[in-house]
Amino acid sequence: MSGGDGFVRPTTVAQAARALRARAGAVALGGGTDLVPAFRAGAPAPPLIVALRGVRELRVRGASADHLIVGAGVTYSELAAWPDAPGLAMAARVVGSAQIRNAGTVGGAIGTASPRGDLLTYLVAAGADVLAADGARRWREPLVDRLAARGPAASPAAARAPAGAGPVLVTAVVLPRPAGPGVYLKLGARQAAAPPVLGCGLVVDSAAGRVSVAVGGVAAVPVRAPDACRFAADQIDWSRPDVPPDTPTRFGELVAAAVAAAPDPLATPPGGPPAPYLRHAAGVLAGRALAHCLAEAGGST
Amino acid sequence: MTGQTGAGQTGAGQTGAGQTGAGQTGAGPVGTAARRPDGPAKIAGTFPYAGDLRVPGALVAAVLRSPHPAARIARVDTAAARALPGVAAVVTAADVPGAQTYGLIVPDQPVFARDVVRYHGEPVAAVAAVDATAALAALAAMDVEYEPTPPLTDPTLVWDGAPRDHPPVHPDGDVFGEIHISHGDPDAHGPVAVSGHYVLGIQDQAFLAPEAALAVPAADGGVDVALATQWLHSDREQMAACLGLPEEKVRLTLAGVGGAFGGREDVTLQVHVALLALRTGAPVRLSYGRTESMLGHPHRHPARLSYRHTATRDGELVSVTARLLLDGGAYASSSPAVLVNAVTHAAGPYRVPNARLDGATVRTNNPPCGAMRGFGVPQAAIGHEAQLDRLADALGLDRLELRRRNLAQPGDVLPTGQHLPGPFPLREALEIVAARPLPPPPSGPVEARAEARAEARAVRRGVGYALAFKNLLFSAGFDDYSTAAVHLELGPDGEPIAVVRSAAAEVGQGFVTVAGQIARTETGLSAAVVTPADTSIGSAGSTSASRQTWMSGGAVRGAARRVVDELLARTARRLGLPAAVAREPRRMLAIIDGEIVAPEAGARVPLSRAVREALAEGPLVAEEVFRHRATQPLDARGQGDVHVAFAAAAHRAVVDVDVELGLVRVVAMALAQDVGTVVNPLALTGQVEGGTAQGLGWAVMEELVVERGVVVNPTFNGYLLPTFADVPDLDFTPIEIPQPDAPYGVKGVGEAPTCSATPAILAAVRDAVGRDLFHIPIRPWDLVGPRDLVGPWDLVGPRDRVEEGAA
Amino acid sequence: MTATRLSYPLTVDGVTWRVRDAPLTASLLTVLREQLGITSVKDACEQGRCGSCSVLLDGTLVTACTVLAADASECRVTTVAGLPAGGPADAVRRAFAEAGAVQCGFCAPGFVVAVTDLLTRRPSAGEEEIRTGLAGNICRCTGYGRILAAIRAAAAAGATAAAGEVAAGETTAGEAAR
Repeated sequence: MSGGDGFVRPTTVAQAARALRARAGAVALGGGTDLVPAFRAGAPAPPLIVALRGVRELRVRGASADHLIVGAGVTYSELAAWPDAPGLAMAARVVGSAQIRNAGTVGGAIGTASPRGDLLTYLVAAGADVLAADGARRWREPLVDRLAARGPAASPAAARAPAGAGPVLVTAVVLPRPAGPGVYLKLGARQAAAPPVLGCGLVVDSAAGRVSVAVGGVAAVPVRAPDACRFAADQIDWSRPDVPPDTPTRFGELVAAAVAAAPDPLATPPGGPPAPYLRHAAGVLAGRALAHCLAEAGGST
Repeated sequence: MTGQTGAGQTGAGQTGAGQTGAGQTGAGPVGTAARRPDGPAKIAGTFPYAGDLRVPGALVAAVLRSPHPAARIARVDTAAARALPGVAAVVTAADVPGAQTYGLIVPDQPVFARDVVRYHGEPVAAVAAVDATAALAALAAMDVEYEPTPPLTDPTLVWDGAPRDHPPVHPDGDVFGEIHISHGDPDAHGPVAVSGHYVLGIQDQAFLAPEAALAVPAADGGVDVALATQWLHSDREQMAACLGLPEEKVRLTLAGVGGAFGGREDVTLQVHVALLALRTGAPVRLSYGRTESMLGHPHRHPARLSYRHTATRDGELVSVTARLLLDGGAYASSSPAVLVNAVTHAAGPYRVPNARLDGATVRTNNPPCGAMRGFGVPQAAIGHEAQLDRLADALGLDRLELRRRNLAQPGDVLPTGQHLPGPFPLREALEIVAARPLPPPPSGPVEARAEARAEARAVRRGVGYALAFKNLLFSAGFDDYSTAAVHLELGPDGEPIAVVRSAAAEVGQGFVTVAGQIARTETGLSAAVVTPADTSIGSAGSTSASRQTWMSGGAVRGAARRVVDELLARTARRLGLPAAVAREPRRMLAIIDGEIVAPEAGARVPLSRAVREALAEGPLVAEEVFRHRATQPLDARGQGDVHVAFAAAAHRAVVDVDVELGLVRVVAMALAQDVGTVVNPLALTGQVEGGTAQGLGWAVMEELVVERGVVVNPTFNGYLLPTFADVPDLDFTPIEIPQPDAPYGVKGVGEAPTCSATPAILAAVRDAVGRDLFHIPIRPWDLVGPRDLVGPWDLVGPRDRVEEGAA
Repeated sequence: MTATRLSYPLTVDGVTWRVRDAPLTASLLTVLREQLGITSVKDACEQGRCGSCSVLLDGTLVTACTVLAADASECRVTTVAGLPAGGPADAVRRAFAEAGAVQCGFCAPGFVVAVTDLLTRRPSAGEEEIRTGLAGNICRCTGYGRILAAIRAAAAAGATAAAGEVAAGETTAGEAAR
């Protein structure tokens, strides 16, 4: 590579983090599915692009007894084929097209932090944390905080980072190993390769007797509806598991109420779905997600 | 930089030596599934589209466009841009040497805006530079001061008769066209009435290859341009006027075209690229990106339709009253002609004894609208078919039975006073499509959208039908014609070959295939080529209006027949036959199985020898100009013999709807269509499948969203096209009845299915959800929750609004 | 401030080119078309939403417009011209020509790459898998009907060929044909 140092290809996380720190305005490049079209559409050239393709540590994924760890360089296609994480696979499968799934990465999704991102919505439901590094140190923080740090309300973790430490490199996501079913349902405007309008991730932890939901596409960060989750957990007979027949619908209504009350709601795009419809749809997806998970859990006993 | 070949390769290429027998694939005559001559190159990626053309030393051009839908231009200062390294020229309105404006019908569209911009994306200036980076830097360096003004975005303000204090968008006035059709007794009404207001959004043609052209200045002060377009000669005429050049100095060659669907009918980049080439003295390339394309060409007109149908209690239509308002956007484009189509088709292919059909197309600061496949008829078809379904329900009649009782037949008088010409197998089309097997009920999980996981109880299946008729060819007195020439030559292998010259624009529809088939049929030769289309021959007219197979096919057929006449005449003379035989050679000579035979004279000559010997006397060439029968413009009452012919189409759609979320899956489509004599069955299938898919797209997902005049979604991320997963198989039955006075009895096929597909899907969704629908495209929230009553706009009058089942 | 320009090697269809002075942010699509004159890769959307620029990057199907050209410099890029002989590509090309799957043709090279990739990995893909697997390739002309027919024909030809090889006693690599 010659002609200036505007492009570097590190081979380790440490090199990558150092490179990002070395130049103000440096940008990390994952699969390029967001960044490269943005350049074509007129986004200004950064002083330095740090390509992560060669950082093999980022491509690792694995499972420990309690956790799944997914390197930031893992692609949607790789996740879609991962039997250890069916809910995560479901979310990865509905992203974009085969071409996009083959190139787009988990780290890229977090970096872009789209409020409608399918994978992000599921990861929030799954209670994921991110592992991050800047030039100085490495840390772990909840994904929702990292997503919020991209928006107007910076997270406490971002505030803790020392000034001048440079941009954050997300190296992996960590999520609890599934102890029950997980699903991701999506509402898009066509049958496939659809930009997400609304998404609902739901994870059931049968061991701990907990339900966790997240709705993406309604607010700056996926909405979590803790009251609805507590309601659902209380309703579930965990020995079977089983619910009264109206529980999914009632759960959906509570999720819709949480969506209605969410801070930082997204503005309705012109020609886009009106907020009452989105709230209704969120409730429907959430109810379906719960029903599916319980049916799956019941069937597997 | 590798030098690619110039534009001279499109359409050329042997069709391959094959037999001329019927049923042969590869290189067959009319009626066979002959393969496209350009297929292998397109598959290999070597076929040169306009955007692929490269010439060493070519500059790259870029266009500066207004970000505002309405603004005064206070200042355009190009000095900084011109001073940048690598910038060869910057041009604005002041640099246009000839006519300042152009247009297909009304020349009202400025080459560059001068004092005022009227739509989002209107060109203000253009630059030529050494590469794209320099060109974009020059655009960024241009200093334009806009004073935004409030855009006029509500077309009803232009045509509701109420006084308005908004100044006109254009000094020439803001009504592009107005039509009033009065048929029968305006006060006649039946006892049962149904009214409805329908709002149709903007559809974009979304041809895949963005606009592109390569202009090379010539030593004679003219310019040679290779470009993708639908009508070379129309472009040339407008370019010459704006460039201040005689037409002979503007020479156009058709480069590879990646789809059109009406979106290349208007001049977009032609004058810009030629002007820059002339100014710089260098070749200039101009290519749009997708966003620029979606801002840069006219779209399908959005429309507001207000209908009232009345009928007897037995379901006989008594009257149709309709008002159609088409928002033409900032400039006229082909709006007046689109309006003629929309209003003359507004009542549909039915027997309507009394009709009052009014329409207008108006100017606003919304994006300009013009031609898109169907050309005003898709809008009308949505209106008349939705109305008939609602009328059927009001009458308690089956939706198909209501239609059966009212189908128009050849000889019936249409609201324009025109007698519907035959053949017109609409009844047959309806019965075919109604009888086609329905898809089986789904086994296993039913999903309107796989990702949304509906339970079976939340998914309802609906079936809908729609009939449409679509005019073919140009209308209303336009003197349309097509020119073609056929040469008989010896190919490189010494064997005779028919060479077809035509300026007909091949945009993907397969004219180059058809032309070769016709040439082979008429000449008996197995080898036929179609040369690249250019302006060295007379106009072939527009690739639009489903006209090329009929018009340019007719020209090729005529030219081929006459060149064969000449061949036979020369052969007759060579055989020593009497002069009278040479004057009418077909009385005694014929081409059969590769030979010229004259049975009465006991003579047979191998065709290749006959051609070789005939060529000794000079070139074998004939040119033909083909015209269709005359039509008439509409008079003040909207009366006239306005359309040459019509094609009938009937679609059936089956949809599954997730009624909790309002998500639609189109499960199956069936089509029966009046197609005339089939020239190429494989190409026919491709055209009707493609036309159906475009209708499907408009029904359920395609809308160019405009907010206060600004286009919100000019990308393929925001403007969604149907994918492989969205378009089901098409069950297609062609109805082949030869069309009189058309070559071989052909009919145009490309537009009719687009007209009937959208209303069929709307009808199916309505059937599934049990709710009237008034918006195209159908949005999920139209199906769920409170009904959207489409706003207060009501030109029929509030007392007429809802009278379903009135006693 | 002039934008950074880079020079690097780029291996396309087995040939290694020297890209000179390409803008830092140029996509692989732009470099292929503008610097190397490889125009079989098409620019219908330049946003990763249409598939007309589909290529293989180290054997994986991607859209060239979403790949930073500089980032591809240590990868193998395969366009329609470089699809391996002896794989499904020949059958796919033939089937597209015979089935009437080409009208304007602008989507065709991207489809050939994507279909070849699909049939290589999933030779017995059923209709549903074909439709969703190829949802990233848009066609505006055909309505996909003749393209589906072409894919079925190519898949059948592949199955026949594989069966023939088995019958001839040779081992077949990869997945068993249906």
